[in-house]
This record gives sequence, structure tokens and C-alpha cells, in this order.
Amino acid sequence: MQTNIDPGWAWSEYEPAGDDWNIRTAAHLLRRSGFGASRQELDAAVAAGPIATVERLFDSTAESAAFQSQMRSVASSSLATGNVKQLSAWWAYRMLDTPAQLLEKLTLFWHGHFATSAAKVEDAELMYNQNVLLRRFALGRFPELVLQIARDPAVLIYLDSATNRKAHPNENFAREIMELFCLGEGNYQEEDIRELARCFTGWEVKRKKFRFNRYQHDTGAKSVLGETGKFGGEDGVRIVVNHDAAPRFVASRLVRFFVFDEPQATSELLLPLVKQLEADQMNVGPVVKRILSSNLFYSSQAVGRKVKSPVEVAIGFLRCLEGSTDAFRLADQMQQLGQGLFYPPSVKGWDGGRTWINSSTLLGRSNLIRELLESEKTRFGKTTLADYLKANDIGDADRLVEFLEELLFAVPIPAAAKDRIKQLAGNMSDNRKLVEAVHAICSLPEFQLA
Amino acid sequence: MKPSVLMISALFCLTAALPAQERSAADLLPETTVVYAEITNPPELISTIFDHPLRQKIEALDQYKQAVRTDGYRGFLTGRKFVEIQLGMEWREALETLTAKGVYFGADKTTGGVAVLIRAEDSQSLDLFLTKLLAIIQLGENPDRIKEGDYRETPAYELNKTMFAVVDDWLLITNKSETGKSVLDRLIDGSGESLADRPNFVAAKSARKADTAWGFADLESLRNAGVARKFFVGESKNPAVELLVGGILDVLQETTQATAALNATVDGLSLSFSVPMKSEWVSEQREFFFGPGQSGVGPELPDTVETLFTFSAYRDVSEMWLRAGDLFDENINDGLAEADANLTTFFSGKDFGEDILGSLTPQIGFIATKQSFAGILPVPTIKLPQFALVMDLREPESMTRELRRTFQSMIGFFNVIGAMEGRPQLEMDMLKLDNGAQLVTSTYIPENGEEGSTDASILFNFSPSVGFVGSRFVVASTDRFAKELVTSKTTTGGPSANTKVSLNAGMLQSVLDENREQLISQNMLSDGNSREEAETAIGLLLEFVGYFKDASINLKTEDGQVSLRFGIQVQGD
Repeated sequence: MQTNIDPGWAWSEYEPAGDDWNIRTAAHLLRRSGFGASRQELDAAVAAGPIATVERLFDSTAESAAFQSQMRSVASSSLATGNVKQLSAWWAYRMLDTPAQLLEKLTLFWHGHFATSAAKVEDAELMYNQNVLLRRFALGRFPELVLQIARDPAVLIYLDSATNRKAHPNENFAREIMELFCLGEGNYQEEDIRELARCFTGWEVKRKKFRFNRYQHDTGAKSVLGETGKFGGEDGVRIVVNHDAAPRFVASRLVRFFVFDEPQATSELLLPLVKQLEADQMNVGPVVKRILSSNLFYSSQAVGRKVKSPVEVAIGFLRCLEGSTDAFRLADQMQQLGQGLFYPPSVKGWDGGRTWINSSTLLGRSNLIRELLESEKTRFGKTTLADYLKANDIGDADRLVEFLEELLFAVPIPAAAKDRIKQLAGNMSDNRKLVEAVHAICSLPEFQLA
Repeated sequence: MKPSVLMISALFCLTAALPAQERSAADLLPETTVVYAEITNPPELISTIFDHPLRQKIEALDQYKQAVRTDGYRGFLTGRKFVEIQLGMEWREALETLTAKGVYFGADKTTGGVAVLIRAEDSQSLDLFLTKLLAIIQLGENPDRIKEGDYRETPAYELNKTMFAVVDDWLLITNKSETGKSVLDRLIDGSGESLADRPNFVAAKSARKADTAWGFADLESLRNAGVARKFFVGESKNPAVELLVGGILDVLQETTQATAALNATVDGLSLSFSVPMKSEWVSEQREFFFGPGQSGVGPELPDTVETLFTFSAYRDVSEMWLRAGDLFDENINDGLAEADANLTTFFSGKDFGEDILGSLTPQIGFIATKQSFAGILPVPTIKLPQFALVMDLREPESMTRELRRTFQSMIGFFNVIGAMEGRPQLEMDMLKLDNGAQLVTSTYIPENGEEGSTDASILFNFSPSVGFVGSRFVVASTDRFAKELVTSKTTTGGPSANTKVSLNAGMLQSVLDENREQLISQNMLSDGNSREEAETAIGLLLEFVGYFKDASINLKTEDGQVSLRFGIQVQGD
């Protein structure tokens, strides 16, 4: 597929012709760059056009001071209990409610990239601090983000680097920085791991804070990735992120996250993005903007070419229908489907793509939607599903199917499936039938695609 | 015939064949009635509820105003208005007229049905009501759903498997035709054996006070019929439940009847249950509950400031612990045995059940008060009440040292585990007070730089401490509370009871209010509410709690009866 893609065309700015920029293209953008959008948000995006809509995604003032204060207050209450599950609920609530959707989506991306699990860290405050750090640097310079993460106590604990002594340098930490965070496999030697580990000696966590213990630091000369010197940890990070492979590694991850799951983007396809990263000190924001504004992003190569993650299924479903629910239960459900917030399964994070789907998770996703629909705590537009649909002038089954398809689906629903849904919905007067119809539509295979 | 015989015969005829309006509900219900309940003055109850000062406060709430604007409620009001027009009177007047002389309920063992008897102000009112009700049903979507018939020339009706009939000023509603016929026979004939002829019922009723509602249950018959089996099983399967109600479970297995009384006044509500009790009904393994001669009473508790909750009970915990083999199943006993072994080690080899628990008298007190953080740092984000167990030692001279040592070991143990898990450490101190009291306290030490925090961990609610003064032994969650308890006086002379529980609603409101921000945050997360919605919801919760003064539970044994009383007092104007 990709051999035919001209990189020049791929990353050039998308200029829609006629009514190419419509509800469905806007929904595609807001689904990929965030967690989905309501009808009102989509209408506003269509009216504003693709350029302005993308610009808005990068508006650093999207979250008001009041909202940020509220989120800090709720986080503080969650932290007071010391329970990380409370924090998971807090983050689910934030994802639903924040107007800064791209920032939140990227925070989730980096959370999976610099995977750190609360199951091992066991400290809600440390996990929260990491989450704040990720959000702060999500759209900034990658080297700065890596340096901050490398010194993050939660990461150090997770990678068994809470103490790192010169007599026994922690090679695990050094390996993960190169392999999983910055370069990928095949771009370093075992010797580089050993030498990089020496750079990080003396880095430790004491009383939940990062500390440099100079007595445990190996002050000798090290040779890392072709550079030699009396390097410390900061130097080690600099050397790694300055490696040629780093921009390609980052670009590849971003393309996989925002554009398509498979096949892996070729070096040729990634080259324009790599050059941009190199030229711009590995600044992530502009590259993301270019991706979201690109021809490739809006092409058939991208639309409907990703499998929704559990978070995208759950948060997306609610967000598109202006929903709210019990955040504790929501976080729990996402965890049961394999994506627990603050609980990535391993240092590799979540594999994503096809691995989200098997017979068990498919059933689980259907059950999640049903549970959301039937929960007493779930509201749509602060009211019942029936009243919400009425308020949006959804008076018949045809209109219902069209409404849901535009909001929730990246690909068209087959005609036969539409007919079945319409039959289920009946004359729209019975709330139970409405629930059945919405549940049925969200159980379709097409619903799993983003 | 002699005049006396004539008179007696006439009297018999008079009483044996009283017209319906001169009979009580107990005269009309079958003798085999096993459950009976009555509200003899419903208009008074209606007035207590609807004229209560709280009603105005509730109606002034925004949430109430919103609730009455919903389509559902408006529909209800429309329906009610329609009925009022049909009846020619307002709903309240209609309800009071219909139930003027009482509402009565009976469940009959023989026929297996229930009967509700409603006595109206007079037969004319009742006839009018019935006529109008039938007319309303005729106007409905399905007028044929009401079936008409008669029994002994008395018209009877059936609607959705519920039967009803009117005789004089009595309205009978029942779910079984046999039950209905049984009651109607007495209504029509004015005679027949009835509940009122049962000696135990008569005796129980004679002891009835001027309660708003009263009830009677033939527990023996219910037990034999297998009704509510779980209620009479006698097993608790849980040490906590055993401690709370173990003795009552024994009594319920044997006692013959129960009475209940509900009192509703402008000051509050109380519900009492009473069952006869005999010493031999309480098994040996449950003597820990009521004590010898079933005369055990809980202790008078020390006076405390800003009291939130108190629990005072007679429980010989040592006896219960030693009898665990007879009281609980294998799983629980395995757990208790393991706990016993560990605790024995903890207490330097002294048998936990016999020596440690046995050193305590069977009077146990538990007190919780609002915790003040004035002048104390760091301050935790979540502010919990402080609480303590208050006990008496049988041999304070020997046990004080033992318990003090054990407490020191326990704090050391907590510190070791806490260090492994990265938690703050406890620092110990010992104090001797002027009144001879001894305190052993421990306080969490904050990390450097966090001493002045006002957003500290929940751990900083606690400074576990023990106190000794005379025979009093206190285990408290905070050092300040331990000190308060070993220096405070005890107001004596209050009514004694086996178990007494009280909750101060005003103090509860204050504690919740202190944690308002946390409650709001939790509400946002658990209900998906916005900040504004959560503030409103929590505000309503606090407002609602503020409507109450206190709640209480009392368990007493006296005069061959076990009585359990629940009470709630509300705020007045």
C-alpha cells in the first residue's frame, strides 16, 4: 500500500475541494486528535474549516483557569485517599471534560510510550506527578521530555533504578531509554547500554524525589553511541536523543498513533517528518500539526485504518453523545478491556492496533457500551438518552442511524445493518428499544474502527 | 328465666352480635391472624407529616421546586385534581375522612391471605368514596377490568386480583377471597371467634401505649410455618454480627410473640420492638451478650466535647472469644485461631482470649468526636473524626504495664512495616498527668519540608495512643482524644441499657461540611457531575442531615422482655 504514497504529497497540507470538508471529515479529525466530538462541536468545526479547526486544537488557552483549578482540586482529593484507582477515575473524568482534547490525547500517547505502571510504583502522588509532567511537555521538545522522564521518580522506580550505584550500574534503565523511549531496536550495541548505564549512576530516588548521589556516580570516561567523555546522566540523554535514529523513531510512533496502525510507515514516507524534527530541535507540536493537516491523514489510507483503543471506545462514545457517567466504573471497564489508566501492562506500553481485538475483547466492548447505556449514572446532555435525542431533533429511526453514524463511525455502516438497527429502534417512543438500537449499532465491527 | 340470666343472655347477644360499626378490627380478623398492625388515628399522623415545620424548609429547596415541575409530577397533580373534583373535596380531607377511625392490617395463617381494614368517618362517606372510585375506574381505558359480585348479598369487587368490599363504615381490601369471606362473616354476623379472643394478643394490646401505630406478630406460628427462615436461624456466621446481635438471635428462636410500636411526633420518630424473654432461652455460649441473669448493662461513658457517635454495651468479649468454637463455623474459627496465635505472641505469650480480653470488664464503650486541627500541623486533606475504645480493667495494677509494653511493641512493628512501605514514622512519648493518669502516645513525623502542609496524607488524622487512669483503659486514634478521655468526668444517672448507640446529626453535618471539597470531588467522579451539580448535590446532602438532631438505638432487658428501640429526632423550627 505505502509504496505508492508520495511523501511529498502525503505531508502536504490538505486542501479540501467542494464539500470534502464536512461532518465526517471533521469527525475523523476530532476523533483522532482527541476522543471524539459532539454534534455541536462538529458543526463548529465544519463552519471553521480544517485549518482553523486544527489551529484550535493547539490553543494553549483552551482550558480555562477555573477548569484547571477544578481538575487540580479533584486530583488533590483523589490523592488524599492514596488510592491510584481514584486517580484513574480522575483521568477518565478529565478526558471526558477537557476542552484541550489534543493535549489529553497526547498525554495518553506519552503515558503508553514512557510506560510506567502503578501496579509496581504503588504511589498515587508519583503517578499523578508523572501525568502532570507528560501533559506539560506533551507538545514540546522531545529531548526535554525525555530528560524530565528520565529523572521522574515513578519511572526510576518502575525500571528498578531507584538506586543506581557505580559498582552495579542499572543496565535495564539504560536499555529502555534507548530501545523503548528514543531509538528502537538495532540502533545501539550492548556496549552502549553498559556505558550509558554508567552515565546514570548516582541517579536515585529518595523520599519520593529525584536525587543525584555524587558518591555513587561513576566519574570515569564513557563511550556512548560514538561519543566519548566523562558523561553524566544529562549528557547520556542528550547523546541518545541526538542520535540519527531518534527523529525517525519518534515520527514513526506519531504516525502510527495518529494515521494508521499498519503496515509500519517506511523510512521514505517518514523522511519529511524526520527532517522537520531534526530542523526544529525535535519539537513535537509542529510535527503533530503537520500530520493532522496532511493529505495522508484525510486519505483513504488513514480514515478507518485504526482500531479504537478501549479508551477511545469508552470516552469516545460518551463524548460524542455529550455523556457523563460514574468515572470509577468507567476506568474499571477500560482496565478490563486491557487499557487501565496508569496501568500499562509492561514497559512496552500497549501494542495497540489489531491486538486490541479478539473474541473476548469484542464481547467486552459490546458489554461496556451496554453497561454505559443501562447505568443509572449515565446521562446524555445531562438528561436521558431519549430526551437527548429528542433535543437533537432525532425523531425517527432513519435520523437516529444517520446521527450515530456521523458521530461514531469512521466508515459507512452496511445497509443491512442499518435496516436492523432501524427495526430495533421502532418508532423511537420506547426507551428500552432506543437502548437496544444504540447498543446494537455500537456492537458492529465497523464501530471498532477509528 | 331469672333476670340475671336474662341480662347475661342479653349482654351476650349484644356483645356476640355487635353491629359492624361497634366492633374493633381485632374483632373482625380471624383468630389465626399471625401479624397485626394498626394506625388508630391516621389524621393525626397525616397532620404530623404534612404540617411539620420541616415541610416548609423542604418545599423551599430549589431541588424540590425542580422536582415538582417535572412532567411526571405534573401528571400526578392532574390525576389528583381529577379525583378531588370527583370526590368533591381536597385529597387530604378525603384521605382523612376515609381513614378517620383507623387503618388496620392482618395476615392470616389459615387462609394465607392479608386483609386491610380501613374505617372511615361514617358509612355515608365511605359509600360516596366507593361510588366515585368505581366511576373513575369506569372512565379509564379498561372499564371492564373491575369485576363485581357479592358475598352474602354484600357487594364485592375485584380489581387486578385485589378484592374489596364495604360494610357500614368498614372498607375491606384483601388478596385472598377466603380471607375476605372470613372477615366479611364477622362484619355481617357481628360475631365469631376472632383475634380479639386470643389471650396473648389481648395481653399484648393491653400494654399498648398511646402510640401512633402498633403491631403484633405471633412469632411461634411464623417460625413453625417456615416464614422468614433466616430471621430465626439463630446463627450469625460473623463475629461482628455476633457481637452486635448474638443474644437476640437466641431469643428469637424461642420467643412466642413480638410487638412493635411506632411513634411519630413533631420532634421525631421512634420505633420499638419488644419480645418476651426467659433466661433458659439464652444458650450458654451466648451468655456473653446479656450477662448473668440477663442483667448486663453497658458503661456510662466519659463526657466528651463535640461528640459525634457513642456506643455503650455489655459484652463479655473474652467469653465470646473462648466460645468461638461453638458460635462460628470452621472457616471463621480457623481465622480466629490464627489471630489468637499471633496475638498471643504479641502479648508476650499471654493467652489472648483468657488473659488479655479476660482482663477487661464486660462493659465496652466506643466514642467518636469531631477532631479539631486548630494549632496542629500538618493538617490532612481528608479530616476524619477521632475515636476511641473505652474499657475498664479488672486488675489495673498488673495489666497497665502489660498493655503499655504491648502498645510500644505495636508501634515499633508499625514503624518497621511503614519504613518498608515508605510511610511516615511514628514517634512515641509518655506522659503522666496531674490526676495520676498515664498516656503513651505516638505521632506521625512528616517529611522534611512538609511540616506546615495543610494538604497532608490521611495518615495525619491519627496519633494512636493509649491511656490509663484508675481502672479506665482507653485506646484512642489521637493523643489529644486519649488525654481528653483520661481527664474527663462521667455524668452518671442516665437510663441503663444492655446496648446504647447514639449519633449526633449536627456533629455529623459539621464533620461532613469540613470535608465538603472532598465530597464534591467524589460526587463529580462517582456521578459524572459537573462542579456546579456536585456542589448542589452535596449542599443538599448537608442540608438534609441538618434536618435531624440525633439518632439512637437502645436495647434493654427488663421485666421478662427484650426491647429494641430506634429513635430519630428532627430539628424543629
